[in-house]
Amino acid sequence: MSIIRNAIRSSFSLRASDPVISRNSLPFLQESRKCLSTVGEQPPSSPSPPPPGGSPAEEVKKPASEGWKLYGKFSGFSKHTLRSDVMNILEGCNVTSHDLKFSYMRGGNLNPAGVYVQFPSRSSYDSAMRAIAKKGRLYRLERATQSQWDPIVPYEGKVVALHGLPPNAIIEDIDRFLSGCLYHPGSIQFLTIQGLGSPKRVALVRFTSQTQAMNAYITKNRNFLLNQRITLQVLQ
Amino acid sequence: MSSHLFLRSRISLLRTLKPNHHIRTISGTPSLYQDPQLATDHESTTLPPNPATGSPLYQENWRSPIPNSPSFSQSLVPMGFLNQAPAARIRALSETLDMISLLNMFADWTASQRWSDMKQLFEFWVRSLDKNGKPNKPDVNLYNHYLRANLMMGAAPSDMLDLVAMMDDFSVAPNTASYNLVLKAMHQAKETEVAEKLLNSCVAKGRTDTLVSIIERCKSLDRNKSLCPSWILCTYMAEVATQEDNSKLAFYAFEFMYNWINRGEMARPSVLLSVDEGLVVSALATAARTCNPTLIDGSWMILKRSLRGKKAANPAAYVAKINAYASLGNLQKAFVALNEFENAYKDAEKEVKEEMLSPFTSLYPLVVACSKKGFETLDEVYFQLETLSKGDTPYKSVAALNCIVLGCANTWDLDRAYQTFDAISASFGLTPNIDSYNALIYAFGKVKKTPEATRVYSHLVGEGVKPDARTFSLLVDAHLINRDPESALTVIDDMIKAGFEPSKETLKKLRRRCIRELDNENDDKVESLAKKFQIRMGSENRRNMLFNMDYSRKLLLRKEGDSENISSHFFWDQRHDTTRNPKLIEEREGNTKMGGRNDEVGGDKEKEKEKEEEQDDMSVHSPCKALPSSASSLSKEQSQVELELTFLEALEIYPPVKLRGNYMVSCFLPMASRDTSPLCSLWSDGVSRQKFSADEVLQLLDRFYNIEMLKSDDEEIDILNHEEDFTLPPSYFDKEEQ
Repeated sequence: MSIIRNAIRSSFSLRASDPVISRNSLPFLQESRKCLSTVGEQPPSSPSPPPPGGSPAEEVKKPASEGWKLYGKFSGFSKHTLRSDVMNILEGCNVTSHDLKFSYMRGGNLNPAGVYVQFPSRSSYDSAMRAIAKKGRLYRLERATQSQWDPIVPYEGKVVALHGLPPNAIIEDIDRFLSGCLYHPGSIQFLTIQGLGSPKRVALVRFTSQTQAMNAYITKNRNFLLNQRITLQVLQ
Repeated sequence: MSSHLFLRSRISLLRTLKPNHHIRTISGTPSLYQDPQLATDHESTTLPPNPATGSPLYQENWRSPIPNSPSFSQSLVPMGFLNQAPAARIRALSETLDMISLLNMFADWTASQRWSDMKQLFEFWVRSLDKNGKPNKPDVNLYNHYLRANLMMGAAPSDMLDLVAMMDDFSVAPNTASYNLVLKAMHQAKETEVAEKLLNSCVAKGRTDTLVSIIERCKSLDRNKSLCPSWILCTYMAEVATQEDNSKLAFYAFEFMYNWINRGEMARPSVLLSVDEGLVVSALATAARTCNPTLIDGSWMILKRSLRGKKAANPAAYVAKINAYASLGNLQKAFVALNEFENAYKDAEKEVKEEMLSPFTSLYPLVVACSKKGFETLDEVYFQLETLSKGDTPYKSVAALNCIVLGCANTWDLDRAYQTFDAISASFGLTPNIDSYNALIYAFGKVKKTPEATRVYSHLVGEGVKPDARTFSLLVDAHLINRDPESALTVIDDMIKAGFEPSKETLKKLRRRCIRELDNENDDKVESLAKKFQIRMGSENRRNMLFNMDYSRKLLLRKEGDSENISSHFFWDQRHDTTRNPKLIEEREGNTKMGGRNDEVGGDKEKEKEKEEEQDDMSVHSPCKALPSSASSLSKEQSQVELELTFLEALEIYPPVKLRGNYMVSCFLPMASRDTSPLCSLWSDGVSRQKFSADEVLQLLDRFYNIEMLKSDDEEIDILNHEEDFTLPPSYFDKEEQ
């Protein structure tokens, strides 16, 4: 029990002292505090711990055209988390890769705000809760609605974000930076996100497949573009 | 209430003293308590910050002639006759010593373990002024002596941490020794929580190198028991480490996480902790960039531990591992990793497997590593694979052989590429796949053997192998290298019929070749293809800077001594490159000089024209002939410039290498008699319709080439001008008579 508590002890002072982390993951921090406080009150040996945060057990059934589905929001992931990592956690929950949608925060460094999951049944949802408990309660799963699920456009692991672009970078520069990679030529688009202090330019590029996106991440991350080091992030 | 009155009276006083300031009205509600403030005048500029930094003494009255040291000062009542004398001596020393002499003194006192004197002297010294009247500022070494003195006097770890934090006041960054002293205090006091707090602060401040040294110190002191950061902290450490390319810190983080996984499984009930595969991929990429084999092994170990043998690792993890070993140059381990990758995904779909094991994308770092020393490395790898294929557990891999074929193609070694391709089926008993054929097409095309490349394509189609988009792209490249845009367009049509789309890069290459060949019809086809597939090809600014030149019509007037020289500069074509810094462009226009240019009056005529044919059929040439400076009018100069420009463009089509002897003259000779040139329509565009004599043409040619090499002999001219009927040699008639 003490080992479990030590393992899931979050370093609040660490997160609070780092302004990037604290500002961008503040909702996560608050949620994790709630989660930990709830866990501390419950014995770890309970077979089916109640949902965290004391969320009311609402009626789940939502009539849909193809049968009702349950939606949940998974939080506690980092920008390095892949779809396969979430699938590993949800092993045995009858969830496929198409049932996952990553949502990213617009501010900061496009850190993941959460992963929305579409569960085919209530038992699948409960299985996910048990899986979280079994794997260290490092993540939080809370209920979500279809209205939160539908608008999210999945990147499917094929889109790569280029951080650290200089202000005068153009599409030709991105093409030269990504030479040798297989991506859709017209998919390069520039975004301006509000980070700490000055706004930052980010380029999003869609690759032909997840494999090509990861190849680009492995080979091109932290290369130089117009004398500035570029950081790549694969959006799931 | 009295404080309110006091503050209000103070405000009114300030108002009288500084009537220009706008004072905000304060609410009269007695229940509200506000600190009255003077509103700043937003229009006025604030002063720059205080430049005096590096000592906390600046925050106090450091200019007072009376030494003010309340915290360190001795009591007015002497504590004892014996204590007073040393304190006064130490105070006197603090006012006379500089930093270097103080360091030397501390070194002596360390040997004699005079810790209290060291502490006292340091505290007096930092509150004293140096010979320039500025407060004494210690460096990190001096401060470390102070820390050591405190440690030896039994300071608590928390006090030590406070002292380290105070180093910021002196603008001194703590180094490894500083933290070592703190850790020693922690070790003595067995305070592991304080150690973790220290780790937190280091990670938060991004001091990854210091963090590494702290962890190493902890490990050496406590044998990994006292220091064990939380799982989340370890994850964060690993993320920061991969972000900053600190492979040691990443390894340590993974080591801690490995311990947590073990402990979690031993707990009751067990906790199955796992590390994110994405984090492992990132760490493997860091290991590749930093060439750290330890991190590769550590990352793979924790990945395997996390997966617990239940499923195969993500393909990206394998690719990252191969990439890491390839960057290290450890080809043996790279191919072992490739073998593991193939075994893990042997049941995957064929197309997915081919994409994962493509030597052009996923395994390209391995291809580059195989051809590091050219054919030596390639042969070594090939023979190793041949040996392994004949072992007890034969290792036969098409993907590995494809890497060698492509490596040979990259080094223009067609013979080796063909032999390796042939060996796939002959020696190894395997079936070449589409990547094998693609690599062979690439090898043929690169050395301009376009018919052979086309035959390979026909062969693979005949064998039932389905070509992919890369096959067609490589065929297009082969035709472009052969300067045949017509055939390249035919291949693109076949490509579209096969259901593939041409890439932007392919269309750009094709467009460039069409422009070089002045093939407007095919150029239009390329443009229509780009529009059809909604591909923005953009411009060719950078390539054009090497190839195109526009003789600028700007003339630079420059005085040299008593004479005025009118010189013209040849500039790069700047018309399209307006996205960069315009100032830089203006400077370039003013300063750029082409090679071999002579600015002097009547400069020497130099022959330095070079023409290089690059692989993508780009030609580079730079005329280096200086125009003779003259005081002629601007229009004459301009027409001369235009004439030379047109002449060079024509020579691009008919390069002098192909025009030998009098053929050169004969091409241009009709210009002497006709208004239009037989060469191309360019001659009649932009050039005034005037008749040129042969000598004028040769003179123009002489400006750019060594005319002696092209000059026709009189005999050749006579031969050319005289048309002779064919006659049998006299010896023939002699034989008949006989």
